[in-house]
Amino acid sequence: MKDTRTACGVGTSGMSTYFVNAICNRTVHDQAFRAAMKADPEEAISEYDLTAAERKALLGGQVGTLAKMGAHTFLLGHLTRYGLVGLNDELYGERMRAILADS
Amino acid sequence: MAEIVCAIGVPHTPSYPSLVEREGPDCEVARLYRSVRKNIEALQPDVIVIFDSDHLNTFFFNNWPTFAIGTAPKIIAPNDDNSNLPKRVVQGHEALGAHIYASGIGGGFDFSLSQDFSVDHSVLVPLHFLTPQMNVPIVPIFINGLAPPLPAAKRCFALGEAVRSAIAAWPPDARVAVIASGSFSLEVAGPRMAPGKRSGIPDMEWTKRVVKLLGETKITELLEETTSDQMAKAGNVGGEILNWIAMLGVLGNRKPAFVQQQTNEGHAYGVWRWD
Repeated sequence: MKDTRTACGVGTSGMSTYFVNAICNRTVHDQAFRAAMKADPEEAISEYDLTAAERKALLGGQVGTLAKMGAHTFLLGHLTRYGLVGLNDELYGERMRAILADS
Repeated sequence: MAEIVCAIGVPHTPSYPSLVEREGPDCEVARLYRSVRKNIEALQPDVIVIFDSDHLNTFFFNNWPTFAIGTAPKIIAPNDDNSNLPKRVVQGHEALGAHIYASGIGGGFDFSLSQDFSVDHSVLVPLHFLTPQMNVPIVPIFINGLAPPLPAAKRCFALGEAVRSAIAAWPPDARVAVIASGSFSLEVAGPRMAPGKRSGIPDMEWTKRVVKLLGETKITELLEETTSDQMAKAGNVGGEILNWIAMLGVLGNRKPAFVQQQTNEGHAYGVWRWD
């Protein structure tokens, strides 16, 4: 099984993964931001300093990819909780579990 | 001087308040919390010290503490929206919090301090079941259980010992209860979720092992076995066991009144009494 510790670690991920985590977290605590993420996610995250790969994965709801990049899986869960970036629980589960099959 | 009257370990599953509302007082969750609450009602604590792992709602990675203590007199709870509990103000115990903070810093535990903060379901769900009147003020002590690297189990046990010493040296004649909030094995929204659910229990064997060691008061073994690898194997919130381990540091070698695993869950309910 993949060692998921590093996938959720704080000091082990790059600074820009910080912003993926921050975006997920903000959907819980900022309802206007959550609504913006629902209405136009590309615009909502435009000011965040993400890498091209992170931006693409986030907007595509590729949560397995984001987890492998170092985003915290607990925080990624907020995206499906609020039905953001095209996610529902089935898609989310499928993409997240794919991490295990990959390793 | 202050005295510790009991220590308690419980889960904080955010769906439990609505589950109990739905299924009634005879369901297992209601019965287990009630068997714990009876001890609180009998022992009448004046203040609760609660070891808790924030789920990135009180703190975030812009300023992420390994150990933190909260000393606000008024604490908003919950600051997340997944427990179906209405937002309210919970009383904090500023004086005991400040005392434990100072005592910890003096004794080698460099807590982060917050005098203005809110807490998530992991504090409010236990209070909802254990002190439903919300009439006992709290001192939350936060332990990083979610974002590795996590503190070592032995360090958390020593933290509990330091908290015990601090409480014992607090001049007011107050009765203090200690609560540990959290699971032993749980994955939330990570790759080891159970099919069709948002959570899973990656390591049921570990849960059973922890419950057995707690029941038999084999604390040395538990500290040896609670490694960072084991906590990672137990799930992305598997580090919540550290709250129980800090509580064990408060206990010394006291035997439990009871420790019971919930059926097919990665968590348990436990009570230790001083009388």
